[in-house]
Amino acid sequence: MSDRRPSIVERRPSSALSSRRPSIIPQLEGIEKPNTPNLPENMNVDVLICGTGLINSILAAALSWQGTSVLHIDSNPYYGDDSATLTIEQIKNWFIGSKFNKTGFKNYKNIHLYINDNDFNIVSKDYGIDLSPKILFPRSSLLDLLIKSRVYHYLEFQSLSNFHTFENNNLGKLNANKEDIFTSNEIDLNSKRKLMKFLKFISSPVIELPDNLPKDISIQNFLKKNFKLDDKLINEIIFTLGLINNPKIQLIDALNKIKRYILSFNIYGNFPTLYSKFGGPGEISQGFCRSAAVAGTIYKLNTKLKSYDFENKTAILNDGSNIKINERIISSLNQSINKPENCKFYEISRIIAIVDKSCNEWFQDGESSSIIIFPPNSLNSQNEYPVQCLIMGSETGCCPKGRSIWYLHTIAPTINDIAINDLNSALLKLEENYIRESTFNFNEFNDDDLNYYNNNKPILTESGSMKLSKSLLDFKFKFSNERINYLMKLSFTQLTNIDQLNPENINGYNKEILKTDNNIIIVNMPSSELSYDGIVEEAKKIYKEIVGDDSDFFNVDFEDEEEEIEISNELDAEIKAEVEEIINVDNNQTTQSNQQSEEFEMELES
Amino acid sequence: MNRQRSKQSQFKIVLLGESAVGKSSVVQRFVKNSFDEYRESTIGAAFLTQSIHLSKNDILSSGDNDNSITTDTIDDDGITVKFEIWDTAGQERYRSLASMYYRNANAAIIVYDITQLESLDKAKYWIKELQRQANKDTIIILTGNKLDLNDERKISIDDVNEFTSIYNLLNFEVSAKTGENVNQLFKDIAIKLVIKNLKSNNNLNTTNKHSNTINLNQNTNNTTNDQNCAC
Repeated sequence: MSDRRPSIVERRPSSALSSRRPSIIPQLEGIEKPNTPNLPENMNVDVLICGTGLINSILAAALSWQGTSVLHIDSNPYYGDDSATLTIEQIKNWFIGSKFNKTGFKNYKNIHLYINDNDFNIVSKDYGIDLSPKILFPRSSLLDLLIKSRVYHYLEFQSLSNFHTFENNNLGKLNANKEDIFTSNEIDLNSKRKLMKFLKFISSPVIELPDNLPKDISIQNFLKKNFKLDDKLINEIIFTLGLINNPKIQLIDALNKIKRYILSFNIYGNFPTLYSKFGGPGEISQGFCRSAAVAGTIYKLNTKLKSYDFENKTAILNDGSNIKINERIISSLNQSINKPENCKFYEISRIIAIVDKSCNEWFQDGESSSIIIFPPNSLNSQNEYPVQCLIMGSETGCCPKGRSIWYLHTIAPTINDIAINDLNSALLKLEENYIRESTFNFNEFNDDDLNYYNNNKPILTESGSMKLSKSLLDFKFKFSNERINYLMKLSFTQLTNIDQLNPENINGYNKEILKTDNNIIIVNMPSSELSYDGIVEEAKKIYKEIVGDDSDFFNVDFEDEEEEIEISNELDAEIKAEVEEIINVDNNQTTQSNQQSEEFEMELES
Repeated sequence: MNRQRSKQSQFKIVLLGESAVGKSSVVQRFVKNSFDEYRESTIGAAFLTQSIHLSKNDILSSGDNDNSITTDTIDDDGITVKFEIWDTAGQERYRSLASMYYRNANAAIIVYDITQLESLDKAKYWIKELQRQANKDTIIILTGNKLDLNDERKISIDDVNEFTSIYNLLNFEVSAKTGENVNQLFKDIAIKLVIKNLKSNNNLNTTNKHSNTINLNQNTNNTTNDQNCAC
């Protein structure tokens, strides 16, 4: 620790500590209504950060470790701000606060909350509900930062393998793993070759586009013309693998998004993504705040900025404290006192549902989470934009056994109820498909209709999720009285200051830094991007604005240095080699795939 | 954070209590057997690990053993318990501990200062907070620090006994400065947790919940220096 710069706690004179201690407290006072000590008088900090959302929390930790003194406050009694993970009680309070009591900016609208605590015994703290859920690619800047900052010590991560695509009224799982492609009975040999050709192209360290490419060619046309892929595969590649939510995305950006999925395989095991247990961005925010606290950041929840005198650099908080600000104030938009000029609002619509089903049918064995994508025009609502769904089961630590949380969102416009119609339409399809899968009676059918897989367990496809063959599609299942009950259904439109429909805003962010007229830096609201991509870059952008340079962003010498993770270029080469190997032996599919699965057996921590 | 986890019992302990009652000092004494007179507040190491070995006899002769645990239940070598000890990193000062802090805590040591009357009252706030945020079965140990300043004592052990019997808590008095009772505190916690585990599932593997967890740092070769890591 001796090499570290003195943190603010170390620098503070002892007198400040003792002066805070009240003299005598009567017996039992402080139990029902605890006295929160006041901040020291004449406190001065380099940076005040308002809101403990993920970007703000990363910033607090980065600045703090760099030696900047930071006071980090949040108007809520919990961490996470607009990316919080909330209990049911907190959701209720959030709802009331957002709908009725909200002072300042309303960053949510069209909020509807239904909680069925008549039919269900709901224990509030059994649930962790994310206001903006996200998943983590093993090949990503946030993952690198989690390791570098050691914040991963505070968190638990689990794998997420199943990416389903909804099509023709069915959920199918795309076999994007190379060995799966070759065992798939669904894809004919010709398509397999084309798909492998594309995977080879996308896996190369630098994507080289053909010279004769028409200007502004869409990703859809590029895949169709250059790789002769069919529409079904194209949809799966763009929207499910790429998790692209804007069909108007530019070609090179789209290819990079597809590439991150392919490259993320086999870094930690044979799966493309991870999620953090007990909650997403809300949980990771807490981790970074803890890291910031270790480095000296002072935390005070239930506290907000009331006014800021830019000339005298004095901030007044709602607890009455006067804080001298040496450098800057950073604030999330919804906890800011001033609205930046020229700030327009754009929309992300979400539904969060808690259902009385485990949804294990949708998860890979040993996992508890899956992605389901409804590509454009796959729903009865004729959706122009995809609907992205994240299903979280009980092993995620976010809900009790026998329950699951369904997160749906879209960037479709809310005008004429387009977005909510798309979301409800997707929700209905999820229900229908789940009931069909979970109540399906195999004895009703001839063996010819079924494929057998692995442990002789009949399923209708090899994917783990059912896809009904054509003859079965029209079958009316007799368990129609089976239904899904909702313990909670929350729908809302989250506003953001960045146009999510503009394809230039990659990951839903842009390069600008928003400021109020009294020079408060405004942190962008959560974007519509389902992965954490773009978050670290947002934090770095603001860090650079304050420190002048981002070269020492989390450049920390910890006491006992762990070897930092190195994701080298060798990996790219490795994947390339694999692809070629598989192509060479594709006649010998089965043996090859068995070997591969053994080699890539997921390495779990014991 | 490595494979050895499954070979021993691992428990999470959290520290709670007002600032300046000596939470970190107690842990420092236990983990590093050191004491820093001028420690002002929690710096640096917010996450410490330390192992403690229990002999077969430690467990069998414990007052917590109601004879349901017999000599056959335990290996002759005894049991090694590894503690993951979370310090507050100062986030308790303005009542801003995160829910992450309380999660899956097997035991909570609530520290007060026997020379500061109000520190016991404040400790009650933390008990309430624990009951609100932590699991029901988290073992709570109310621990009076600064036993070396017995002459300046403001809180009598009888008062504390009365209080802890109402709330059904354990209590202890230690001195982080001299080290008195510190190891005994952790050893008692270890025995309690081990016996509780043996009773509930006859199975010392507390790491079931980690079985699907991916270690993000598994790509690196260095997993050795897990002890006393400052995170």
